[in-house]
Amino acid sequence: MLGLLLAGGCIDFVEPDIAELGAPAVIQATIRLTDLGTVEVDARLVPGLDGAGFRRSVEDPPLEVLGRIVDVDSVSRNGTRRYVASWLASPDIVADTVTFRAPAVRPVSAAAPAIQWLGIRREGEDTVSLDEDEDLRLAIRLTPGDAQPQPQIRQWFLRLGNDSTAFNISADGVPPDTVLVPSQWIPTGDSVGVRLIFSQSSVLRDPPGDYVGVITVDTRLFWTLRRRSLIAAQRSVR
Amino acid sequence: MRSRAAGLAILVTCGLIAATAGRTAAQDRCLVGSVDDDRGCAFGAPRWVGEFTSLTANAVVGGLTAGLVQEFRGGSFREGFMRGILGGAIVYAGKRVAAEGFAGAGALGRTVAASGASAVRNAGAGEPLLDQLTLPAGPIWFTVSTRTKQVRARVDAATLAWMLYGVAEPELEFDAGESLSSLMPVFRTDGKLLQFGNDSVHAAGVTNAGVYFVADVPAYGPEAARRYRAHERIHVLQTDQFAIQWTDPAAQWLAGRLPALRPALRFVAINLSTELMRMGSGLIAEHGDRPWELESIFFAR
Repeated sequence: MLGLLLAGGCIDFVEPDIAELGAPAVIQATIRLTDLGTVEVDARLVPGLDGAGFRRSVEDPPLEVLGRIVDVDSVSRNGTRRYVASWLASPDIVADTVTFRAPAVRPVSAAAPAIQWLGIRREGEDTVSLDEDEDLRLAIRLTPGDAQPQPQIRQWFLRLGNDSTAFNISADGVPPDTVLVPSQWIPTGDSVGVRLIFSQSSVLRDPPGDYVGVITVDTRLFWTLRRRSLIAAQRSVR
Repeated sequence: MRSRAAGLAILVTCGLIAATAGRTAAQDRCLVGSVDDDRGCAFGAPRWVGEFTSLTANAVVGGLTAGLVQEFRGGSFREGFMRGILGGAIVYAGKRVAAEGFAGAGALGRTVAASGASAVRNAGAGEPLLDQLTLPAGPIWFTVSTRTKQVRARVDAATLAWMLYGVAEPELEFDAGESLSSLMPVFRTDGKLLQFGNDSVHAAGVTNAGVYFVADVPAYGPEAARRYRAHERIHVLQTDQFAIQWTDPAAQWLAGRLPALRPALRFVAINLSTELMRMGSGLIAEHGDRPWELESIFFAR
């Protein structure tokens, strides 16, 4: 018997190379809002494996964005879930508090990542009339209240452009109540499009850190600049 | 008597094939993310082609074995071949059943396949097809004589040795449920893969002389676990097939010429199937090109 065993050789036992074993569940989500009322959600949830190697399950409550349940779009073989949704809401949606709550994943100990971040809205009309040498003042307001939790990164980007020229401004933090753009930075032309993107993002990792959320919210406001000289000329033609 | 037994064998074979032929497309899905990834996807031909190939191969092996033994004994190669074909077909049916997922599939498949291998052996001996049935159950081989209604038990020394290894090895745990369901000693790891000899390729399962060792890695998911176990069950049936048809009759023949061996061989079955397969592996370097691996991968996918 021993001879048979020795002739056959013995068996070694090796740990399988499973990179995600015991790694945290991760949800990465991007939410895009515009003052046209469009909402886009693109999220990917990797529930991963627990420390024993069992696939974690995704359970209720489900993914919720701006108070709306977002159904899973596809599930890949390794359990990764993709959520893709878009819908048309009121243009005032940008002014509302942005809410997001990740689906429950079990077994994890940390709370599902969730945010309540500030919205932003345009004050005044979406079309602004300007003289040739007049500075541009864009009035905007953040939604009153506190963000929960505070986003780690806040940035804003302002782009003024037409078919031939573009001018970009960006800064960290929240945009001021009035964004002043000197006249010499405004592209020439009869009509100029202005777009302000307010971006907030955070990596959420509540103790003990086994459920991680990487959340980004982009809110876009739009204006159109018109030259008063052009408006007057059009009136005189009539 | 012979024609009745042959008719019964054909009926059983056809019934078992029909009962297990209706596998769904879902069971043929490619498997990724596990130790053997999508080796089951390598089969591009329709499923019936694989079934027919396995049936034909087992039948031809059975036919050639019985025919050559008959020839060696001074009988008719043709008669042995024709009856051996039938035994081989029953072996195929047993493998077909053993790959299924229902409780007891392994035990039923093993018993059917061993009956087929016994039929091949009987055909080679010039006896009625179902005259003596050798039915392995764990480390014991039961030989049932349908003529005298006697049952004889022998110990498969190789199986017993590998069982002792499984018990002694701290990395392995005896899987009582699967062992009972399949009549095969089954040992599983706790989250680890197997590496055999100097092989650098990690395996999800290893079969040695009717005992199988399987990697229990939950991360690979239930579908992978089902395939690994079905794959190893087919290997166990192959080791039975080689032992019952080839190595044990050869040992018995030798015992007839060496009287000193006779007392021992009354109680001990000689199962050198693992050694035979290892010799075959030396001839075919690529793991996935070995016929017995192709058959196991095909049935388990």
